[in-house]
Amino acid sequence: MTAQEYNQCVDEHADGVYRFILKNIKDEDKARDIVQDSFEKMWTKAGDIEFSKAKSYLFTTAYHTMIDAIRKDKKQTELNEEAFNKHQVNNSYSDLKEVLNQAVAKLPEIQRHVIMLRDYEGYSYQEIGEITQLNESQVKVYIYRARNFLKNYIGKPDMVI
Amino acid sequence: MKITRENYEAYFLDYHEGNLTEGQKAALMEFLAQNPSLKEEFWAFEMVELEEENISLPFDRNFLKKPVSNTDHPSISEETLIAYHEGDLGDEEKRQVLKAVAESPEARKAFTLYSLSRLEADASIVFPAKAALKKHIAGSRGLIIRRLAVAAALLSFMVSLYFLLPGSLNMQQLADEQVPAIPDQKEEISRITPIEELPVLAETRPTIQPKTASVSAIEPTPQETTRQPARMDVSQLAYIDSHERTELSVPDQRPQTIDLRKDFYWFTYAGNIDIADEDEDELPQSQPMEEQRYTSLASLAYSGIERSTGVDLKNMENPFTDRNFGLWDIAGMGLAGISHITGTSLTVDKETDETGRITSLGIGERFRIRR
Repeated sequence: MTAQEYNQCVDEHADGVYRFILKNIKDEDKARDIVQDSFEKMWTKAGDIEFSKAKSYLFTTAYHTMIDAIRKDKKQTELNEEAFNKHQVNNSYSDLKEVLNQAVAKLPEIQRHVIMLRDYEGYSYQEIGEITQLNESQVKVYIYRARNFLKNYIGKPDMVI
Repeated sequence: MKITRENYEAYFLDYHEGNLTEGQKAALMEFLAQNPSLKEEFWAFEMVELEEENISLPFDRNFLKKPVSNTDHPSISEETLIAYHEGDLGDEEKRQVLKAVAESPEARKAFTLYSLSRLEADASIVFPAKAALKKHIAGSRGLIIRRLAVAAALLSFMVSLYFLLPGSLNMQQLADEQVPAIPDQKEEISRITPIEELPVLAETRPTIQPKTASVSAIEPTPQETTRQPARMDVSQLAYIDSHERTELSVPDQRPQTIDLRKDFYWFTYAGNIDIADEDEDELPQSQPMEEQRYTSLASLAYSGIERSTGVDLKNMENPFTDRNFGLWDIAGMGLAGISHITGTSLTVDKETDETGRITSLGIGERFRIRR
């Protein structure tokens, strides 16, 4: 991958990676650091990475960097999520996006990751499996469970959509 | 086989397991009648039973169950509806789903909810420092040197300009402030010496011969004292040879009569900045000369770098300061360029007076300008 192709990756994927990370860890500074780290890692291996595989490499790297960061800061993240959920639970929602965001925040971590990769980036089961190091069947099961949870959540009687 | 005291245990066990034939049972009873001391042992075998161990699954058995359709249509399940939205179904299966959805209100409701459960990326979330991620080094040493050298040229330009400035001007202030534009540009431009008359611009690129960088300034005629623009020929001062130590020379006479704060603006031929290094083949073709008007020293520096390297420093964040590149950042880059080319380690020393005005600039130990 040339510097020009690398810069093209920045233009095309930096926002997507940032969005994916930010939605998962809800910390702008950390998300920014993870994106920068991921691009730096990609740059150091630019000579070995084909341009066509760059996006996958980028998301894989960002994903694992994020997982490391989450594990490192697990307790704090859980507290944040708890506070986030507590803050949101009694609110009345009229906007589907808000309801979905709340539902996504309640998903188990791995389900949240795979459903975001699926919906935000349109990755196939196989690609998501490569990124998350799951097999295709596991990815499919997690997506189905997540989808079912989201559907039931937004279909709850107290949710006004 | 005859039952004896050596093999009777197997017959006892088989009896209680129900594995003996009627003849074997009769033989066993006859053996017990002949050996009454073994009767107690015989009945003890009857109690040997393995109790069923109470072992349960280590997880909820519902985990293994298949989802049961809660739609009221027999041919459609939740799984099928999800598969439809995930694009996992073939055309025929899709038709069946749509048919079921049309026929069943419950299926229709579930179908709609699954449609709504798809997440959409929030386009308003964008990475805030994209420019800082980009790499402006193509991996070619020649290109690296060329870009650094352009930056070095700009540093030279700024140092030289400082020397030309009247004593009342604060260079930092000039760098930060926008100098008011002159209303009648056409009139001002018409006073400038035609480009063709400038000796250095007669060629599309400077020759390799000169080893000095210089600033040429046209001293104004008395009647043009307050309106005459100074002319900076960047193509001359930008010349740096990677094999020779660069020397900087400035003219002895300063245009002291120009009111820089009100009327000064620069014309540069930034497209003509050209740097020589060992990779001559990689040098870009000289671009047509084009007059540009700049209202601040910073804008001149930004433009010069962008035209020569394609790098838009004005809108680029300096990762070390989290702010956009400023004039002094560019100067620092220029110094790095000079250090790289000359193989020396150089630093810029600034001295200021009590008002913050810069009173001297020094590069290393051998070059210093004082007011």
